[in-house]
Amino acid sequence: MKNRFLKILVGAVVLVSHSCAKDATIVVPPVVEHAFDHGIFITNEGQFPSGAGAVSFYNRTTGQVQKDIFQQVNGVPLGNIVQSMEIFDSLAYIVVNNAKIVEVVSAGTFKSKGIISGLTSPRYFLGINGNKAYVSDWANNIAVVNPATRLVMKTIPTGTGPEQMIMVGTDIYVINGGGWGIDSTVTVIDTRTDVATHTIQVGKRPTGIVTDGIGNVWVMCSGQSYGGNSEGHLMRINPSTYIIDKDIAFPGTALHPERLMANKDKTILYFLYSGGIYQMNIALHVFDYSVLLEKGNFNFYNLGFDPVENVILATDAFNFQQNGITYRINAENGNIINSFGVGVGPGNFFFK
Amino acid sequence: MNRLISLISEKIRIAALTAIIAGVFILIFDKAVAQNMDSIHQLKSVTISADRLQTYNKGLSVIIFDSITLERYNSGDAATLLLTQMPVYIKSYGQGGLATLSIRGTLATHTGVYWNGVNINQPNLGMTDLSLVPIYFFESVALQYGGSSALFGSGNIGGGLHIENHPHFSSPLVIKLTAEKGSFHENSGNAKVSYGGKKVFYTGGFALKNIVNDFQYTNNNHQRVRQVNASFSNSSMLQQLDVRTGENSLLSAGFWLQHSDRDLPAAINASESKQHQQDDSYRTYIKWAVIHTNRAIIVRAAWLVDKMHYINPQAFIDAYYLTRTALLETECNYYISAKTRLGLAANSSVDMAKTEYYQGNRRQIKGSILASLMQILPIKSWILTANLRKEWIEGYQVPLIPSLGAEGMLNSQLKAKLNISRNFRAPTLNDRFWQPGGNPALRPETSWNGEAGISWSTLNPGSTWQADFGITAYYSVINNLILWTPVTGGIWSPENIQKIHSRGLELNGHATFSIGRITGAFRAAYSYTPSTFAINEVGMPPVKGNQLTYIPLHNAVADFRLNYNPFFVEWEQSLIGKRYTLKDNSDFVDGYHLSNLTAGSLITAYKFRFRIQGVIRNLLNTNYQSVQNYAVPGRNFLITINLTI
Repeated sequence: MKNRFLKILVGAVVLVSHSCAKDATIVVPPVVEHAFDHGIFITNEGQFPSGAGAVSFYNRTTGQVQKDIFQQVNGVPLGNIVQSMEIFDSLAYIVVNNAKIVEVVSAGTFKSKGIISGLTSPRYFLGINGNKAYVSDWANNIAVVNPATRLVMKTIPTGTGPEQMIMVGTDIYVINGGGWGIDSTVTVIDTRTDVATHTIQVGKRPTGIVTDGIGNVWVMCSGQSYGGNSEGHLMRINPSTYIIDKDIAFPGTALHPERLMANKDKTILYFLYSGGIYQMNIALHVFDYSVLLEKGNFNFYNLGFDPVENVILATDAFNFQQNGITYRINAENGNIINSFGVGVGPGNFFFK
Repeated sequence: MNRLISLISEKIRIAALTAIIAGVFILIFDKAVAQNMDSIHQLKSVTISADRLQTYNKGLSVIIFDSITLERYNSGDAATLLLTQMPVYIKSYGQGGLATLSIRGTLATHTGVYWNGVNINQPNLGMTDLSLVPIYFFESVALQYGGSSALFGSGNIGGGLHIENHPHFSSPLVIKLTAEKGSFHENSGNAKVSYGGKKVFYTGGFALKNIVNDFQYTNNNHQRVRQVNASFSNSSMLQQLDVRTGENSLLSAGFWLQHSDRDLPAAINASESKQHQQDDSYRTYIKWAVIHTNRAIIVRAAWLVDKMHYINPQAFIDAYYLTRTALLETECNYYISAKTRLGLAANSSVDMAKTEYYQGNRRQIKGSILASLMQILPIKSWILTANLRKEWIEGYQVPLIPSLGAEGMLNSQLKAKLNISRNFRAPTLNDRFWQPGGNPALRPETSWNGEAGISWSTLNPGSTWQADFGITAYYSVINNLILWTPVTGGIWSPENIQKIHSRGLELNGHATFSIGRITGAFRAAYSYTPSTFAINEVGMPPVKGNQLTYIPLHNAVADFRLNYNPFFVEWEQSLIGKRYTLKDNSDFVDGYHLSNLTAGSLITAYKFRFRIQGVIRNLLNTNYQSVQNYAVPGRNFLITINLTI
């Protein structure tokens, strides 16, 4: 009786132990030249605080998606919170926020080339010239990086929580999104001297910045969404005077416009509002916005505009507890063209 | 609307007052009657929770850890004990890191932790970090499977962990000293004293623990690196005094002080964390029990304070959280006949919280009444229990919470048990008040649980071997599950949006034997835990039928102990299946098996009892992860010296 009883228990234990076992072989395929020369890169943050981030690649010709091209090519995962990606001088710079690094890979093959470290909470990368690139960092500065040595040369103080940067002539404009707090400024840096020359007061919590067809700078200020709500503002900065010459206020403090994208001709701005996608034709000088795609059941997280096909891209990150989805949307009528699954927390795009 | 709210809060005040008035009234009544009673009943060491757990909770599985096991884990914490000894899931961020308990595929907030009957779950989180529950002080640690909200209130859906000390009057002075040294600069020690006079029982102890935790691990780039920012230190003091205030009455008081300081390491794929957390708890209770032959009355008050200070210099966060709970409870037990026992209880409590994230001080008042019945049936000593609880919580409607249980012998060796219950969990203070997002309009989560079990044991007293074996099947549905989901503008808010189907099978077996001078014990337990989402959430990918994240389908433990005086050796083995990390079940952490080997010697000479033991933890140097991308050490060592006078 005892023996039989023991056998049953041992049997159960062995059974479970077998179901736990798994192969741990890493298969690294050979490097394919020009594999990622044309297409859409989507950065996926990964689950905070420990899930692996990823870069997904959408092939416009075949419509196929590769979910995690870094892991696929290099055999190791990216770090946690892949915030954004930028291609500069045939290298792709992948900003991995919680790993506090920028992964540098060959843009065509995605083969790893090295990392930029010495950062605190990096957000976005912008190449300036062969000797210089800027990385916005929630340490409330811009790190000036030498792309050749991949070393941080110096830092330029900004407002709180610097995010996206755009280049206008020899200036870069960086929005200070507030980071873990609140801010309402745009810092202007002269890229020749690496000195912050202007701090422009805008609305609270800027979340997007683009230039229009005639070189004006548009900033989406989302407004404070808790702890004393405030209304959103879309503001236009004249780059020759650094003065706001247009201020469109959104009604009420309950809804907050977020993000900002422009079409290829930079005549139409797109943003998230009331959970849906909104548009505003700035070429008409009417500055009236209208809904392009209603919220419905979507939880849109970010927007992009593919200049190659004139298509709006929108990500749905759901609740960051499962893989997200990217939608391709007709910019004319807001109809969804197709959608494809990506990684956890799809946030930003790079179009090539 | 305001009228309604004031009406509801009025109700709660009434409920709160009920407990107070009931207590006073019953005691006056009791005093008056007691004078005319011929009470020869010997005062027993009654603890409220043990009483409830054992008297009115038939049909549920309760596993009580034996003193040998508790002694083995002398300076460990409850998380380590359960991880290696029970097939329940402990989600642990590494030694000293946050460790939460999941029983039967439920969430960490679905398990109550009770210190001598007082629920110590923090009201802001609805759970207890088991890495901050030391083992050395407690003589009884019991794990109750299955929902028992009717008896224990909110949060007891998956089960409960009961840690207790009982008074032992007329027992000699015992002094216990323990020192430990382990890998990664682990040093710990504790001392415990107990003494039982005719009228007074005292036990007190303190413990210190410190570990740098600078172990090496393999990172995602297959490099060996050293863990940083993972040290922790812990100190605790516990005092308990029990005084016989009369022939039939007992006054007890307990005090538990706990302080911990820990650095929170970054995940493997993140880097350079500078996060630090300090936790402080002060827990006090006072209890008065009057016990007669035909009735027992217990009045208890508790005051619980939890402080947390979290610092993340890289994110410019320096946050304080303070929660306090005051509790008053009255319980009366009437022994109507030798076969019938009736219990009536009233409970009232107030939770108070202070943190910048609530924008001001918040509080929550609760009140409840409970009726319990235990009936021994004439057939084969079957016992039937029934409970009914009505609870009032400020701002919420809680349905009536009943439970029904039965157990008895089928024949001389087979015992059967059955239990069906309704259970609930009230939203936490964070769920209600957190800014931004807190949702005061949440409803409590409710569940129906049912289980049936059968156990077999040998019937050979005096024989050289004994064995028992049990199997339990359970099914439960948790409705209105609260989940935080994104609303617009990057704000997250909790809503009652999910439903969980949790069902499964539990096997456990135990055998002891002796061959000449060798005695041995073998214990094994296995849980099969399919716990799945039952509905698809609006605007989210379909998850219906998917296994919950961080709930392994398979979980098993085995323990083999041999004793050849004065030496002993013990092998512990645990197997934990893969755990999904995403709700769409597209990513998971691999399953693993973990072995510990302990060897030691126990020497008794004159009045001294000297114990020395060494443990090889993670004997096979398994590379595993409990939480995805959180590093854990490979093979490591621990030496314990223990002296009992």
